[in-house]
Amino acid sequence: MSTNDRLTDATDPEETLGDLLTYAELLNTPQLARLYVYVLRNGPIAIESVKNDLDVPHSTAYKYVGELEEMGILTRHDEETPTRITVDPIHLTIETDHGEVVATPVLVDAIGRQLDTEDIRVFVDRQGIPKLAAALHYTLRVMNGELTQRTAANKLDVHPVEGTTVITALQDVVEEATAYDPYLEPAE
Amino acid sequence: MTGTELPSDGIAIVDTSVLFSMGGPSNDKYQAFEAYVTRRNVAVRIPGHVAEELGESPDAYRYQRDRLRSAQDAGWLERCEVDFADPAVSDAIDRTRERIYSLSADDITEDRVETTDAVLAGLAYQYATERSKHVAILVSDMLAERAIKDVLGAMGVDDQTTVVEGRSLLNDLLDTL
Repeated sequence: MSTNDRLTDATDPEETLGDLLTYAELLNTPQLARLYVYVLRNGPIAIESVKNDLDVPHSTAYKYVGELEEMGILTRHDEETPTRITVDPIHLTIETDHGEVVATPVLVDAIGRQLDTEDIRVFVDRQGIPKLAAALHYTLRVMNGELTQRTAANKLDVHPVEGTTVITALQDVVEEATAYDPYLEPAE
Repeated sequence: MTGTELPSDGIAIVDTSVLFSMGGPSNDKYQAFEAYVTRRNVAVRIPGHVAEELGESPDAYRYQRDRLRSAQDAGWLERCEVDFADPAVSDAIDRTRERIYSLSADDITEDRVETTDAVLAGLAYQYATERSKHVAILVSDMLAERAIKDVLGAMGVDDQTTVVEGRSLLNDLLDTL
């Protein structure tokens, strides 16, 4: 594996950092993440329906829709009444010292799930979002048969019970995400 | 429905990940599993190593320990010990650990492979040889599943043992409710 090749193959650094800043809000706000994934899964959908289905206040729903629009990943279909919205699947690739890290809708979903899944909430409270992203990376590898859950916990540097808890919860997220995350390679 | 079933009157060894998939006593999957093993008279066992690992977990995961305790209190799950003094049993454990290492991706070093995964195979071998009952091992880990299956097959107990994908089994049980 040559580092030089990676550097020359890397995408435009300005564009990557721009995307990173754009998506930071999405990766840092569980409620926004949950709304994004809901629209991705159910769109085109009326804003009112999203608001009711997710039980979020009117002002919050419209604020989030505005934020996603500013990020350039939400489209309003104004020709319809009521106006319906859709969102694009995000795809962010970052080259790091540990290899390529990819952020796609399944990560956003995992982040949003801390609102209703205790196993994920406890993990994020203790370890933070970057570690959740790493846990998701290892979950995909576990599902691909590349290592066991306990080896993954070891690589994540967390207690086996903590690792198994979050990987078990993330397996459910990944299985559902194959239906809406176009960047996820389906498990065999 | 994949048709996976645990033979009646047999033994089922479960790993933590499967226990965690069930959730707690108020969860549908937990209740479905409890009803299933009770109806089929399946003795559910958890290796001491796995129980200890759970006992040493950070306090934030006390709720996971409570799930184990609920099952123990309800009487359908018991902790049991692997007989390391039995050379064949410890051989099964060593071979499974080696098999896990050889099946793992290239970036995994041997020190990253935990013995606890391999203990499941050791216990299965122990039960399969000392009793005449069928032994199912429930894991939700593709690599561990393959390694355990390979070693139990190589040691000649594949007729008495089955390695089951625990999460699929739980989903199937819910579908048939």
